[in-house]
Amino acid sequence: MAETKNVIEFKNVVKDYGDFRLDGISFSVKQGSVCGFIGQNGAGKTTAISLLLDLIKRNSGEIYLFGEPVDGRHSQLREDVGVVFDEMGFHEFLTPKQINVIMKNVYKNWDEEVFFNNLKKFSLPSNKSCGAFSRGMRMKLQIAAALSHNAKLLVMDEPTSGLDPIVRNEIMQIFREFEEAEDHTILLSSHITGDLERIADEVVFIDGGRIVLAGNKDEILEKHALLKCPNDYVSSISESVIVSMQEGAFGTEVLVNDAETCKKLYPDAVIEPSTLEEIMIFYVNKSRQQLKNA
Amino acid sequence: MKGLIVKDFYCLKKQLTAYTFVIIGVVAVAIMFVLSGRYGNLRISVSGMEEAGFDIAAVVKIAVMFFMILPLVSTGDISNLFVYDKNASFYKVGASFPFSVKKRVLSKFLTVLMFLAAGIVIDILMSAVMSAVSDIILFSKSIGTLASITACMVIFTSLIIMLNYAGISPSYSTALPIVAAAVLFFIVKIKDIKKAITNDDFASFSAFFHNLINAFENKPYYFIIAAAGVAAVCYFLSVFFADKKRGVA
Repeated sequence: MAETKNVIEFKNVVKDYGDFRLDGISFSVKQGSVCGFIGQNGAGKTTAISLLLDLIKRNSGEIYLFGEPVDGRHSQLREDVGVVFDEMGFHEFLTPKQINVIMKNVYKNWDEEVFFNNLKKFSLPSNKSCGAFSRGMRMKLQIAAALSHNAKLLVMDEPTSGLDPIVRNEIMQIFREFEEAEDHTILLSSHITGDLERIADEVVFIDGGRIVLAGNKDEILEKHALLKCPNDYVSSISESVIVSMQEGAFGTEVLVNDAETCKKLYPDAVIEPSTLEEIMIFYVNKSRQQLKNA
Repeated sequence: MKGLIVKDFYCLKKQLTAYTFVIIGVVAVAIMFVLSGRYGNLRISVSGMEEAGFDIAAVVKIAVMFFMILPLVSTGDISNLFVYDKNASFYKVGASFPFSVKKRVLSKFLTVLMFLAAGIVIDILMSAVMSAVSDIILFSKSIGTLASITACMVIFTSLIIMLNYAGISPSYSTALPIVAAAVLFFIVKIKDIKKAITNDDFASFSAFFHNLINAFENKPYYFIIAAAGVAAVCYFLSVFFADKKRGVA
């Protein structure tokens, strides 16, 4: 079987802003996968995406896009990248029709038929200034543009934040359709883990500028679990399986990183599957605890 | 790169109504001014002053030079492009396009040159009408003046673009070259200014403006060479500043 190519590769990348540092992050995204880039606000997701798109310069490390280094000299690589930011980015007085004229002079593979079909599909008027669009419509407009130049990679920075569940669901459906093609890859940054749980194959979890967890989403969900037990039971749990814990009035919730072993070792405890959101929260708590102790 | 120029055209199109009114007004006032200087009230009001050295033709020519600058200024209003991009957060979208930093910067310079070209066409038409209705303005001399003024505008807008990429806010970027030119004029002409204020002696001022008019009309190549040099330096500095931020202006 042919080895799957990495579409995105970060190798020990450092970006230092003084008050915030992306601290030697390394991860990769395979061709044909959907990678959820999770982390709380300010964790470093947007910085990493900006580095990937060559919007800012890194201090050290290497970044590869489609196997080519991102070093300011390969701007043509972005021909195959569809980008969706958390803000629309187009001028409010522009209409989708005018955006089409701009974009067909930007991308060699721009397909205006696909763009206008996307507008229809997303119920977006083509003659109305996009300043009059709601946040959901603005995101859909960006997605329509990102999907209209035969992009092989979609890079999205918080595309669903601030949207109602109906629109979020519609957008997730669009991503699923895009992902159906074998060579299409998605890097989707979000702090709304529910969306990623539905669509992602891989997950990269970043916190405080460091990669905390990366790997196959299903494996991560299988490995982690919430162990619920009385407060005095915690001392009997091996520290090596504990990520972090939360004490409550009725007992303690412990996130463990080896669910199968814990089920065998602690049959008296209630062990429930954890969600990505719970995993994120417990890992953030762990980092904060470590910072406090340091 | 063409896409970025098209985007800038859409931005400037937003001001098209204002431009149209300014240009129509300027052309109308300029023609009326020339007519008045040649045949009308302006001519009558200064009659008899020629013996005292008052040169109505020079006054009209300087006024016409200002009128000719206006279509070029309004069409080359580059600072607003940076304001529009900033307000829309377009810099992120633009920087994600498959263009190098050099091309992104070049697109701004080309947009300006195209808009200046539109201003030149308007000025040529205005000069043709003015030279047809009066013998004060000669069409051949107007073309020299126009080339010199356009060269000055290229210098002005190139500096604005470079200052914007250097991170100076759009309003300051527009004001700085004007203030710098005014300060330079003040420093160079401080003696003449003193003379004019203390002794009511305007002779050296008058000579300066005659020389200036002469240079504008007959030696546009000086200004064109200077404009080419300044534009090239500003382009490379803009690329340098933009590349420091990876094209994010």
